Amino acid sequence: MENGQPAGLAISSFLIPTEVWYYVDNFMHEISIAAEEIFHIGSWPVTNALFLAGIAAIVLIAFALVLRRKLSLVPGKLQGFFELAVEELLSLMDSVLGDRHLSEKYLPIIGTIFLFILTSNWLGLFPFGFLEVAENGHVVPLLRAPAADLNFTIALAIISVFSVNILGAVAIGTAKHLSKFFTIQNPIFTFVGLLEFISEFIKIVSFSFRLFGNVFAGEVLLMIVGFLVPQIVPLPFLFLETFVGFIQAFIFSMLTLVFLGMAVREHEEAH
Amino acid sequence: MSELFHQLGVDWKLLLSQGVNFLILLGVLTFFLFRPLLKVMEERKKKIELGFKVGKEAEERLLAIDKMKEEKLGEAEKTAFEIVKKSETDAKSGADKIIAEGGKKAEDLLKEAGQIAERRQEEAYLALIREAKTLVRAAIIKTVELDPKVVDEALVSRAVNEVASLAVKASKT
Repeated sequence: MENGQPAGLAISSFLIPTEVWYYVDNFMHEISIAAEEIFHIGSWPVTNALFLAGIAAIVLIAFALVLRRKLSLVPGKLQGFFELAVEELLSLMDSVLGDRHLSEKYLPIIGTIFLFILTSNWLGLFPFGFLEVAENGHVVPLLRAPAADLNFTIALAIISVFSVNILGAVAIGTAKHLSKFFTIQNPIFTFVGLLEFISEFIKIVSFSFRLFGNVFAGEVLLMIVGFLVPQIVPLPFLFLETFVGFIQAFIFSMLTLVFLGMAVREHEEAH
Repeated sequence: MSELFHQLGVDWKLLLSQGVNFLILLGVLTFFLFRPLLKVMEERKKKIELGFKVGKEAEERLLAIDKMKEEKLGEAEKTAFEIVKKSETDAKSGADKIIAEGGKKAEDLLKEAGQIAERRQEEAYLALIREAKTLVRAAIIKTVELDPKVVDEALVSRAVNEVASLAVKASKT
């Protein structure tokens, strides 16, 4: 920490008076790219991001079980609302996949990605800043938006890309699917195939860093605005981050859907 | 590379934890939310389609029944009209027959009444003749018993009186 500035903050020091850095030093959580460990289960670390991801999963599982119990041909309010959302998602998937049967087949993976990221992002926005825990002499927040941790976004990106390739291989056959990447038809296709293969790994990076960057930036923005002007001013930013949370969940799931749509089609059709 | 991962907080244990967390959620949501929900939606869709189909069939059947009703009503009206027409014809012919029979019977009765009247007239005439004969016989007997002169006048007047009374009697009968 130099001149009283937190190391993680990339704000030019000459713009901020020294008194502010004093308050930042003493009253604001240190901004860290890595999620903070809050406890261990054996040798297994549990970070605040993983903790909130677990809570998000539990919330969604509870919601699923409640809805499952109340499912009926004549829907109630909750079922009606969720059916409306599912119907809209299916319509959107139809426009990409072009077939309702395929949309219904791939709804669970796309729907789960969307719901999980959305719930995680929105739970991360809840003003639970007062919940803190001391770990290794540091006071760290108990909860952190899961997508503000690269482990969450990379894990989701890996699952997404692998799911796309596995489902593509199942849909059109492994040999046909691999021929998208490895072909000796002519040198150009071979080169393009190799680029496609590399792009699959690039997708993981792009998926994970896009989501991480947006959510982490939102967290930092909210923390700084909330620290500088705690009353009223953070409200528009909270709304903005609510919207960003939705949009990022939507983008992640839609990109997965588009890649899935390309993967489950024949090679010729995809080109 | 490992230093970069460390700086970014990437840890294989956390990656695995996040991945497993997501996969558990995926499994639960697939089996407890999406599939049952899609099943219910499909079931409802089928029921609605069936309802529409049955409704359409019912509508078609209703139209057919209406048409059949119209046809039956038309046929019934036609039959009723024919029955009424036939009844009218039958009644008319029956009435004509009855009238004809009545007329014939009346004629017979008249004829019979005429014959009876004729017979009675004849009987009355015969009775009158018989009476007249008796009267004439009695008058002749009286005439024979009395003085011709006196008797002539008395006889004549008596005969006249008796004839007159006989005539009155005859006319009464």
